Amino acid sequence: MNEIQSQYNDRDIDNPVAWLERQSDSGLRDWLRLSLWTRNSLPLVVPTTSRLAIELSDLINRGSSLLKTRVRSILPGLFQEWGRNDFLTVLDDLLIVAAKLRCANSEQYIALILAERLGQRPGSLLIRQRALSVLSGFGCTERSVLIFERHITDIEYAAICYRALYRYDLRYGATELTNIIRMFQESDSLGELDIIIRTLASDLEPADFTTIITKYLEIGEPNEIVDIVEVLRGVGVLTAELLMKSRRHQRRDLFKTLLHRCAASKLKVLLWQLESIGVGLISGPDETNEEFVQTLIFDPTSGIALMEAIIPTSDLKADVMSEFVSQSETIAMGSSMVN
Amino acid sequence: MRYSKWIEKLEADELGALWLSKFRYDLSEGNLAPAIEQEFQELVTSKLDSVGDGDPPLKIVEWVINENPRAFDLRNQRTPTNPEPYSLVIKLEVFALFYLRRRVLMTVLDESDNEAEFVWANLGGIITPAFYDGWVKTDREFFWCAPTRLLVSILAGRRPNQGATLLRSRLGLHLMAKGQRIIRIDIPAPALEAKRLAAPTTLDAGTNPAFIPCNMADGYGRTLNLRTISRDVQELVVEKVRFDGTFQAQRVGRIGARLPAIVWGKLGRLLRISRGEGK
Repeated sequence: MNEIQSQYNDRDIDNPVAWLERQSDSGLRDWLRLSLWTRNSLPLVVPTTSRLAIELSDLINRGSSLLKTRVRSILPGLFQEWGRNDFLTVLDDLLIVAAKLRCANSEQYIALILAERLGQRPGSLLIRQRALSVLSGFGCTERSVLIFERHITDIEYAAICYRALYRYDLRYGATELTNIIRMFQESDSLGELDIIIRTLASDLEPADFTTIITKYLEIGEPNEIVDIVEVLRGVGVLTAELLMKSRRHQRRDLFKTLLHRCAASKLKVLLWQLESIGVGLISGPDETNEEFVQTLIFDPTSGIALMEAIIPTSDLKADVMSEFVSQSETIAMGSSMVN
Repeated sequence: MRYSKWIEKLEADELGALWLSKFRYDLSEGNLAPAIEQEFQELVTSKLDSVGDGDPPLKIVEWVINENPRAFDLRNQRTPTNPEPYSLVIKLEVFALFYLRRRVLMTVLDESDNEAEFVWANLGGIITPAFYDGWVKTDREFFWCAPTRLLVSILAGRRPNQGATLLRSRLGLHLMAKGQRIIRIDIPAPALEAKRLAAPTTLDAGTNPAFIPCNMADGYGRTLNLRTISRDVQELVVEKVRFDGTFQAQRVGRIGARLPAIVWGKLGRLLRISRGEGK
């Protein structure tokens, strides 16, 4: 072992950062390598409630900017060193440390490991998931976009890749949503789908989320429109509040797309779904509700189809019709006054 | 000759000497079989032959223990006489990274804590036991735990952060900083069937100074109370187990106070006065 590494004392065990700061580049590299490959990390002591990768990352993050920079310059070399005969746990720890230190210059080496060195050995699935989430943390780039596109068709990696891709380009949010929903519904993994949709909603501004949903509806199957609305409604991400935070034209676009694209036979269900989130014909008039009705008025095809869907069976026929007529008149009057 | 010189160096180092006195305590109190000392000596000598004398003596201890899990892990001859439900506590980050299905959780790993925040906020809500997936273990192939009833009694009637802070002191978790959030995991009895359970030894503790061996007849070890520097809660080490939806995981709280500096020398005195007790 390197001599510089040998010079720690009891005080360094209480404060390993100071010891790390004193190391030469080669001493630092030797210590990182020894810690990750053999778990001999003194003067860093890993408590029984934690794991090496977390303690090591925290330790370096507590150090100076210079220390972090030096470690960032060392990590790519360690990724290069990792080979097929090394333990997967070593690679897992390396990945976590690279992520926690935001060592984006490791990207190409991680990509190389994914493509060539990981193979299909037992346990590789978990490491591939970890590697993709680390690449996602660096931010999807022109180089890594192909990696995410390649893995998004496999349910084990789909959610990680979906998130990386829509954070890179919002259009992926809409174009890949059908596959994501179908994949997780077919594998009966609705709890996971719930988290994917919630994450999508929380990652994006309300306006962007509304746009993605609208774009998704534009390409979705007419018979599936109410299913997707149900998913969004069920996890609490499609709400009157969200619509109010979106821009007026975005709300209009969403309503219009919903009414245009939804199969006529499902319109009644759609109406009920919208009603339940506070956007419907019967609920109290607020700005969003008014826009929904207004969309119907200026979109007679959908309006008529909607009425036809309701009228044959609904006990509320009279109420709905009178509400629709009265709101239509109010809005029409308002519109003519404005005009 | 080489080994005895190495022992001299170990004794000259405060934490090294403390480790050695704990190891000797385990041997003299019958926690470890006498043959383990011989094996340890041979492996240290062999390591010294390969790496030279330049490394700090405690580093050799760490090296030899980590390289020889079959020889040194879970080797205490005392095992709990009356097994019961057990629990462990871990850092939130460990739970988030190693105990959950990765395909929809922790999907973006970076320097921020956003993903761990999501886990903390939603554990017990949308993060149901269906998401539990991993191994209950440390970096070695076993984990540390305590009887559930003791953790429950420590936490009873306390606000979450108070409870977390008290747990740190009573379980000897000296490396948990202020602000650290902790998760408690309750282990279902079937998960421990055919698993090796034992009181921890100095070899299980590795180079962690916040460990004190003991010789209690109940077959448990004792945690080191960081406030009183005395033995406290029953604890044991268990061979790793698969973590799944049959386990229970819950938030404990956030550690709310800094820990005063610990004078490790006090442990040496505690070892000397406790030798022979409990038999």
